[in-house]
This record gives sequence, C-alpha cells and structure tokens, in this order.
Amino acid sequence: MANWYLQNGKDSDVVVSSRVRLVRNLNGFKFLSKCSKEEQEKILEKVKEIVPSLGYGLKYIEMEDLDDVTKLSLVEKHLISPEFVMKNNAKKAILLNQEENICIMLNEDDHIKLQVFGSGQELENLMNLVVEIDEKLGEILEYSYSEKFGYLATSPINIGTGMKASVIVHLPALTLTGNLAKVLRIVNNLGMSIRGLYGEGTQNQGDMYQISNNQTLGITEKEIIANVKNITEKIIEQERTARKFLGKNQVELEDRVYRAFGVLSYASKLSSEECKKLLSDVKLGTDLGIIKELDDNKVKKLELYTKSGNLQKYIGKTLDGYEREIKRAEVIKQIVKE
Amino acid sequence: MMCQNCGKNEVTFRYTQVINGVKKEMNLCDKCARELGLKDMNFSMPINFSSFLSDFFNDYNDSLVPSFMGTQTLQCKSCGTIFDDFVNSGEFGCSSCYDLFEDRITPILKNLQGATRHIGRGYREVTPSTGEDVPMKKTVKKEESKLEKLQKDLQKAIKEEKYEEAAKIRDEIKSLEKQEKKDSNKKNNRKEE
Repeated sequence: MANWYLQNGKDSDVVVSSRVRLVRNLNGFKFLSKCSKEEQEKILEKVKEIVPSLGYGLKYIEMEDLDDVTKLSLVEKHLISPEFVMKNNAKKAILLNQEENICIMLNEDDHIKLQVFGSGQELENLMNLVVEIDEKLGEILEYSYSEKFGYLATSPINIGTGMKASVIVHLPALTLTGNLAKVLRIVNNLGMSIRGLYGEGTQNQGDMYQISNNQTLGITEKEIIANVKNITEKIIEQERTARKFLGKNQVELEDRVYRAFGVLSYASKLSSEECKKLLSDVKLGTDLGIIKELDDNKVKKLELYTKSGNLQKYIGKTLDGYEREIKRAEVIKQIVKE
Repeated sequence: MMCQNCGKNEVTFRYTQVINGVKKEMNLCDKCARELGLKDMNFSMPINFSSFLSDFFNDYNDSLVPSFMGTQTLQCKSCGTIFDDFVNSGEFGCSSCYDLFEDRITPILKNLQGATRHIGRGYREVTPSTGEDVPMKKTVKKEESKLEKLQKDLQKAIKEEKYEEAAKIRDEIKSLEKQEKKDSNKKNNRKEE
C-alpha cells in the first residue's frame, strides 16, 4: 500500500494531511537547553534500547548517518522539522516506520517528539494512535510529569498535554477571491494559529496553509482535537463556497487551470517555485473535475516528486539546481502519462 | 531599484511580512538585509521568537514577591538555571525548574496558555501499583497539598501586604519541607538496612 502522503483521505479536496504530535521529556535528564552532549547520547542510547519492545516496526536512525538529500526529502514530507536538521552540535535521531506514518524525533527541542500522520482529515484516529504509542512508551521510559503542569517541556508553550494537532489545507479559491485575509484573522482570533506552508501572504507559493492549536495546558486532548477539527470544517466549507463562486465563471476557471496544466506538462524545465504555483491550480482543476487527464493519486505524486529532495530520491542521484529543473519537467511528463 | 534602508546598493532581498492580514514590504540590499538579521533567517519566521518572548516575560519580572523572599537569586539546584535565563530564552533547563519557579510562571502561563493547571491525560494512571505503594502515595499527596495551601496563603498574605503573617507562613513552609526531607531520608535509610 502507498504511504500516507500518496493517499487521499477524508475531505482531501481541501485537507491535504493531518498530524498529531506529543512533546515528552525523560525524567532524570536535563532539558535540551541545558543538556550536555554526553547526556544527549545517553538519551539516544536509552531510547534505542527499547525500540524493539515498542513495536510498530519503528527503526532507529541517527541523523548523522543520513545524507543531505535524504534529510531534505524527510523535511519535504513534513516528517521532521527544518529546525531539527539545521540544529548543529546535537546528537539527534529519529524513529521511523516503513509506512512513514509514525516519526519520533529525538533531541529536537525536547527529548521526544512523537508524531503521527495521515492523509486528509484524520485527527481523531491519529489522536488514538498517538495516545496508544505514548502509553506504551511512557510505561517503558520514565517521563517528566507534574500533577499541576502535566507533561513538562523545555518551553512552557508545550506543557500540559504536550499535544499539537494540525492539518494542512489547500486554499486556492479563498486566495483567488481575496477572502484569505479574513479567514486568517478569524482563525487567529479563535486561538489557533494558521501559517503559510511555503512562505507568508503574497509570497506563499502553492496556497498551502497549516492550522494548529496554540493552547496545550488546561485543555484536554479531546478538546484540542475537537477545536482544530471544528475550525477545519469551517474552513473547508468556506473554501468550497469560494470554489463554487469561481465555477460561476466556468471559462475563466477552465482557462486558468488548463493553462497551468499545459505549462506543467509541456515545459522542458521548471523551478520548484513555479512548479508549486502551477500545481496549486492543477490540483484545484483536478479536485473540481475540470482536468480529466489527472486524478488525485497523480496529483499527490506530482506534489511529492517535484520537491527537490524527493525528486533526487526518485531519480536516484544528486543533481545541481539546473539539472533538477530539467529532471523535474521529465518526471512530471512521466507521471502524467502513467 | 535601490535599497530602502541605505539607498546605495541594488535590491537583492525582498521581505514581506504579513501579521493578521497587515502587510509590510521591504526591499533591501544584501548588506542591509544581513545587518537587519533578515538574510540568514530560516523559512517563514517573521520575528525573533526568543527575544519576543523575553520582552513578554520581562513584564512579570517585577513580581509581587518582596525581597526578603530572595526569589531574585533563586537558582535551580539541578541545572543551574536562574529566572533571568528563562526570561531571556523562554526555556527551562530541567523539570525541577517548574517546581522552583512555579509561582513566577503562573501569571505567565495565564497569558500564554490561558490556564495554569493540567487537565488532560494523567501519567501512569492506568498502571496498577503494588499494595504497598498506594497508601504511601496518598500521604505524599496530602503533604503536598498542605504545602500548596501554605504557598497560596503566602501569596495572599504578600498581596495584602501582611508581611508579618507572610514571614510566619514562610517559616512554616520551611519546617514542613525539612520534615519531608527527614522523612524521605529515614525511608531511604530503612531501605538500606
């Protein structure tokens, strides 16, 4: 079966993927802000030992053992954070399973960042999964926990449940109709954060946004999930309304998405920036059933394998910037033809 | 186009910041962008987060606690963090910091999280403990809550500027903590025997 990032889930015309993560720290060790290299190594050793008993097919991988392209490909899949990769002078590792729907970062900002992923709107199932893993892990390892503040973390931003639930949404129609700023304001006012996945505001390429909860303390896990889910549903509703509105001018809309599809499938070279922009229109056209040549599956593939790191993984060798632009166009042609 | 900041060099760096829908644009040359700390900025972070937090936390630095409590120089025994470290970085050094600075972060948490108490999943609640452990845990909890109550009383007394009363409560807390330490030492000794 394909990995989650190549699949389509519930409401996947708007919701690209969901993630739930828990921040945990080990008792008896200093937080990473004060943690010596030796201590960091001990943490890794401790976790490495228990990986087999944790199950889920998780593999222990040290970041030092990964090449740059692989690291980049993991960042592009949102499995690890760019900050985690760029953090120097730290002993870092991940626990990753074959399906890549579970990825645990070790020694990022906190000792353990447990993350689970799914395509489309999957928050409730993901919460159950992450809690299940957490219960197992918390039985084998001793967490830092206080009755009052819950699960402790380096930053008080993350204490309590330590839970962040987030979804990535594709909002091209709200952007095109000029309603995005309104939506951003409302979401912010409701105590959630929403940010452009590839840059902010007008610089945002691909019209992708990530919505997540801010509050982690004084709120239950279920409430967090319900809040993010509710706001996501509202945004889905708004985006679909905006798409219907765009559909009133069928010729304009068709022209826009097919022009993008034309350039995407016939260009001889494409930068990753241009590609993201084109793919946003092409995804919109496919989701609305206008572009008949593509399906959801192909769009997902295009999105993944046109990103620099994953493109190089797909081709199987390292490429410089110009080579990548040429190969990107080739790979797109292959996927469209499949 | 020339740099907005120095007006001498060609623009090589465009910076757009959107906060709650309000857009700000800057066109800068390489040198100015670097000087303004924008050039090496990663991804979409429009503000320096730690300094942002530090301003935010600093508002609480003049706490209500009078100097005789000596909180200004409180230092975490296990990791060496002092409260100023936290104010500067927004990060604590270890789990003991949360106990030590509990009173000082409570108002910060109110703003940051809108709450000061964990109500989510507990830790190891489901795990059945041995018969011996259960009553022991209970007594510990009682002691803690007594200590907690005293600490609350202390805060209240300070707020109402009843310093004599506060000093009494402080002594009581100290003796209670000493007692607890003795108890736990005794227990450990017994175990060794």
